[in-house]
Amino acid sequence: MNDTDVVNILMVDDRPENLFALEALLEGPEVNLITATSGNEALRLVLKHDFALVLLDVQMPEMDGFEVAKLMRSSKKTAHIPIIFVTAISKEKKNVLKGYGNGAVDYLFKPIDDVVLRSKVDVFCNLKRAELRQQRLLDELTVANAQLRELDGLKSEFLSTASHELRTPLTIIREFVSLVRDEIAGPINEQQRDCMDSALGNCDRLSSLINDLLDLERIESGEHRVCRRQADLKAVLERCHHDFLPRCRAEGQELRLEVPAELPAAIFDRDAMVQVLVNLIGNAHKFTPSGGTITLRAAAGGDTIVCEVADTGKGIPAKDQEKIFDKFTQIDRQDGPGAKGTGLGLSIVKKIVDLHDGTIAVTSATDEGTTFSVTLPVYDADRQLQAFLDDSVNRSEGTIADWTLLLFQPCATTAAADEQTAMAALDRLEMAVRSVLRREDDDTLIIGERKVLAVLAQTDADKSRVLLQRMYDEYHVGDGARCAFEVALATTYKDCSQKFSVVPAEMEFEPLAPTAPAQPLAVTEE
Amino acid sequence: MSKARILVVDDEPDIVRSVCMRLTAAGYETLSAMDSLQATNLAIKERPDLVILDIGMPAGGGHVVVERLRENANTFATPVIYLTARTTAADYQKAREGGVEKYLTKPFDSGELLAAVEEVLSRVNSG
Repeated sequence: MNDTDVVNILMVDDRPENLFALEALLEGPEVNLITATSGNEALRLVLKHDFALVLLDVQMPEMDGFEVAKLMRSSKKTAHIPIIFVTAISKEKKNVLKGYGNGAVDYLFKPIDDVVLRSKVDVFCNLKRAELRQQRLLDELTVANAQLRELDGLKSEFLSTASHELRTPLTIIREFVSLVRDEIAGPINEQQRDCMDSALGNCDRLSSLINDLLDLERIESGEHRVCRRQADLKAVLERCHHDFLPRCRAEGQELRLEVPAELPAAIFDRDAMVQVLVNLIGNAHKFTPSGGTITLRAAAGGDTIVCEVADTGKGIPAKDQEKIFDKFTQIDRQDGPGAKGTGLGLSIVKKIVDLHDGTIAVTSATDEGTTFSVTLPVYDADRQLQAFLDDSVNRSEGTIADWTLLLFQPCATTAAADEQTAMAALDRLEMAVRSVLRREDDDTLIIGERKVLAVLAQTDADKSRVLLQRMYDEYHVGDGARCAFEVALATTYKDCSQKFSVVPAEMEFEPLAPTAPAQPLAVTEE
Repeated sequence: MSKARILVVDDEPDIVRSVCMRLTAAGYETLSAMDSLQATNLAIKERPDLVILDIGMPAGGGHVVVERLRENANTFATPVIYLTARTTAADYQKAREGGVEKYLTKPFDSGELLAAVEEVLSRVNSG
């Protein structure tokens, strides 16, 4: 907007003639001058309107200028309004200092130099105009953002419905083609069978495209949740090696497994990591010529475990390496077996690895081969708890740090000893959560009934049921059976029924030794 | 032993037709229904050896059919195979609760379907 905003200026003086003089001096089309003849009137006005500046007389009956300034500073709504004191009498240094002390931006003596006052006032009017412009832009952005969010939701919904609707006719086509191929509708010749096989192959290709699209959509919309747990990468690699071995042998490829005897546990979602590896090994299988080698490797390095899938295929040209994780990117590496892909596999892989706080990298040299390396965090109890809490709020906006948590421990009301044990477990969990989230002194992490956010239900079913009953009665969280095995995380009672997660029984949450409050992450500069 | 009778339920006529063709060719006798109510009534009246059932259908859908079958003396033990495009956790949960024997997703592989049918029927006959 190019029009200059009209801004309000408030002038406060108990003597009308002074106000007339100021008005005459400051009048102009871009300012709206408002006057008040007492402190009380001024305070009423600043609470009601938005001002660029207040010109405030010091000596006034009932409430003087200092008092007005002090009251303005004490209210959030008016604290930011710049104040210039204007006085003919209180010119001593201690008064001037008192004026600044009460939040004045300037302190002027009468008689006032017209030019000086006008230019000072202009500065604050322009500041206000800049602020208004900024606010307008911010409002526009907020609206645009809300629209985008809505569109994104519609897109997700469309994609999910469309994929679903595509599946039904695809199922029918596939089934009728296969009925013909299997000669259930009568005998066919070799050439016809060939045609039917091609049709079937492409039905399968379309079907995996639809599945990949749905997968990607679920991840992007946050619906795909990972459950990261302490897990054994070695076992996952061994299983993948076992599953792919026949396929690779059939194509004359060697599939090697190079994993050290001792590999520390990592934190990952087993199913999701299998999906990642199947995708990477599948790619390697597709793009490695007969006689080539595919190697699965894993090695620990400090805080992380690196897992590699290396092939001896044609390699990915340097210029394409950046793009391969983008959606619908397919690099031309047609020297291996296997059908054409969907161009979505690697972007799904990347997103899953991201959900693990891991990284994925590719190194490749033409005619030598390609290596994908996935780096995952090594297991430690704190990191595991953090991952668990993050995964639990994964579907919501923001991070766990924005949440208020309420932790519950089920306890049998029949046995006091059990209750004590349960409470001790709850204390340990609370300490661990506080330590991991670095919220030691933070009252927003509440244990109590004010906000139901996280419910710890350990897997002792009988005890859990007691908790359930109590939760149902006291916290209105709905379906008790669900709570039995889950931890609730939510911002309000109402949301609670949708946001449960369970702290698994095997998860350790021994508190760290009681130390000083966690140090803020200090950056030392030399 | 006489031919096993299988009730195929789906609101898509072409799915019903193709599945029935496949089952007939494999030597089974087939019945078909296109909605939940018809499926429930037919199952109770005809007492098929197995029901192949879609989930997403008008008038209640597969889960409701299973519930009704379990409530009726004629069909409380009739084995059910789901054949559906739905794959949400809630659907799997319902399937478990209703004692559904197999959960196959569309698009399906006919070999897989026949294997599932054979497995379920042999389990029921031996048990």
